[in-house]
Amino acid sequence: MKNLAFKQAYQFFLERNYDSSMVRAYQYLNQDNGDKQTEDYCHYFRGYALMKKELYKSAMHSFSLISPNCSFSLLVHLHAGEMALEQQDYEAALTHFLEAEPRMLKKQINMGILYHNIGVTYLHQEKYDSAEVYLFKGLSHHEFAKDTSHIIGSCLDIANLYYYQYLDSLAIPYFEMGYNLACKFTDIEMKRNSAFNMSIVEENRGNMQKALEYRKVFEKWKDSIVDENRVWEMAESEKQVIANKAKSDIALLNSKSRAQAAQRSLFLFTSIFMFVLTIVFFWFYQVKRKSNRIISEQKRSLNALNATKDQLFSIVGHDLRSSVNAMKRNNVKITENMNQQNYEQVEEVFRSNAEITSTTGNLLDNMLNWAMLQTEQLFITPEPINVSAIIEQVTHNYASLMKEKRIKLSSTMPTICKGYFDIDSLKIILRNLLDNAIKYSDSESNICIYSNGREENAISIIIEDTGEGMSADELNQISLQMSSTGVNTAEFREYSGFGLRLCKMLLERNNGSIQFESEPIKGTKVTLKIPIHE
Amino acid sequence: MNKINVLIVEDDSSDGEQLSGLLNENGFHVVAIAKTNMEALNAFSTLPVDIIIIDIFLNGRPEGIYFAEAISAMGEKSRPFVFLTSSKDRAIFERAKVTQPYSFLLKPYNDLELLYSIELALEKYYDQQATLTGSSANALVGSDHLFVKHKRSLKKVLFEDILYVQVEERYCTIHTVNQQFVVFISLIKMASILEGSFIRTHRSFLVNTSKIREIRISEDSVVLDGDVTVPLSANYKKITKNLTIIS
Repeated sequence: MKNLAFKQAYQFFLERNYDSSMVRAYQYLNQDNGDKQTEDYCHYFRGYALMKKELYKSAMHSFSLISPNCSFSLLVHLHAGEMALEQQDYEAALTHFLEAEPRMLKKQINMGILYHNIGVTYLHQEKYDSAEVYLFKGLSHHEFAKDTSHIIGSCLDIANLYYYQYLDSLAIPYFEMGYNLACKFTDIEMKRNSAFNMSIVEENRGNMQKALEYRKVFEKWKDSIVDENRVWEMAESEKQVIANKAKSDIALLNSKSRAQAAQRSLFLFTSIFMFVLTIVFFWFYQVKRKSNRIISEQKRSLNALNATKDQLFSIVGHDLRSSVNAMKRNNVKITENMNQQNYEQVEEVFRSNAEITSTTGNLLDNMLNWAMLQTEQLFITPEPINVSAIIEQVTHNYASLMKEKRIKLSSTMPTICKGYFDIDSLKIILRNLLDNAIKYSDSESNICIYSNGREENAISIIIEDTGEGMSADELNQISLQMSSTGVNTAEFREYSGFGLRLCKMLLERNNGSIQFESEPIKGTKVTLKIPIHE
Repeated sequence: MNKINVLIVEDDSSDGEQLSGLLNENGFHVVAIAKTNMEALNAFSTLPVDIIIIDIFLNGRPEGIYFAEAISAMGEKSRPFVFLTSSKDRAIFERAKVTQPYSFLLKPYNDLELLYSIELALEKYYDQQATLTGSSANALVGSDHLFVKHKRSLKKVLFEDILYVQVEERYCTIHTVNQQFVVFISLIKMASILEGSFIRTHRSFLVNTSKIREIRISEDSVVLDGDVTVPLSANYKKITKNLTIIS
């Protein structure tokens, strides 16, 4: 433990951390059983530290505690002497120096400083002779050592020695020597002191000019010290400024780069956003264009349908009007003939009326069915049916009319003829076909209904009449009428092709088909194809 | 053979009268003409009814549909029906689909169409498609009687009037005292429908026990009312043991 304290003290001393060294040394000294040599060292550490602090009394006390025959007593004496000199205790100083002298001689260390110090002490004691001796001893040692700064110091002190004795002539050369050496030397303190001395000297000699010069030099060195300090300070502050500037530059650059990065990312985001926006707009534009195209197409087809409807309206109105007019005429005829009691004529007119009523009724039925089909009010449900039975039911209604017109109907359908169709659709189609057959047949003609057997998945029902028949042109017109957009010209037939158009639509919905064959005068043959299964 | 009982539900008097006349002409028996829903339900519960002809629109509302729905919810007691309507309303159609199978008749109609739709309704109800309307058979098996087509008119034959049933291939011939009808049903199904008083005397014969007059075991035959003889095969001789013979 105690060794640790000493070790630390020694360490701190070497590091010139004199305070810590002193503390550790004190720690060591406080312990009881320390060995004398180490204690000596500790005292020395303490004393040296105190000396550095200029606490000379305490330092001297510490040094005095050191045993006189320690290995470093030389140092002790030297320091003690110096301190004594500082305290102006010249007697003590001399004692210490003279103690040190032999020791130094033994060790052959440079005595210059020692001799100089002794000389200075004697000088202070005004023992000029002894001072002279020792000062010159010191100078010679310094010259031997080529220690320029100490040489200057010695010169100056010797000069002062003579000066105090008013031996100016002896002093001045040494002042000059000191000054000249100082000029060549770098130590500004020396320069200053030597210049100052010279100025005093010249002043005392009465050389005011020279004195002023030397004074100026002194001032210059004094200033230059200040200047030097100031320069150093300025350099330091300049350095600081530059450092600060560099720092601020860096900060600026950093913020600049950050701003740039932010700008770049902002730019990137904006461009991506714009791109996305462009794509979105483009997509919307495409959608709009497509819907516009669809809309214009729908408009076109709607316009076409409307035109068709209007034309059909006019044609149907025309048909109805002519029917009603015919009946009006017939009524007039009836009254006339009743009055004239031409009962046979009356019968004939009645027959005509019956036919007109039937046809008109059929036309109205067709109109209603067509309208319901268009507005989705007609519900078509194909189901298994007995086609023969349906045919029988439809022809039943025309029995009286055909009898009146003396048209012979022969149906050679088998009792059972299976098909897959919507009952009411089949009835509408059959009514239309029968209606046409009767309309365009004269008296004493035949209408045959028969089946052509089955082929693949359909059966053929044929309605054949021996009526007026149609020309090739008229056949073409029929196929045109049955297509959705064709509207016939009023010239062709007295009656609109409404019924056939309706038949076509119903057949399509039921998976059936229709075919026309006709020859003028000979008659018309209509083939219906009815599916058998689903 | 008996007449088929028809219930008419129609609010228009002249239409109802005309329909009634048509049915009577064709050998049907009209039990009532109901003008409202309530009347119809009343009539249905009190009178014997085989089939109902309903006008969809009663007093401006599709009450005919409600009645049909009420009927079809009665399970065993329900009956087939024919819808009459002057227009084909889609909504009505959809609504009407909710009820059991039916047939549809548009006004104006002729008697052929009426008969046809009655036949269709029966076929759909008893799930014997194309029996009356189109096949070589001419009878439809109902719950306690047959529906038969006899010279254009539709009649019913009570099971108790059947003498015997003879099976040939895929159909059966039903014999009454004076007539015979063909039905497209297997003998086994026939037996299950007829149940009760009918027994098998032969692989191909089903006999109405209440019509047996004589059992001639030695001659392997059974004599029925009307002097009709039916064979009795060896396998089925034991059935005679189950019968109580009165002299």
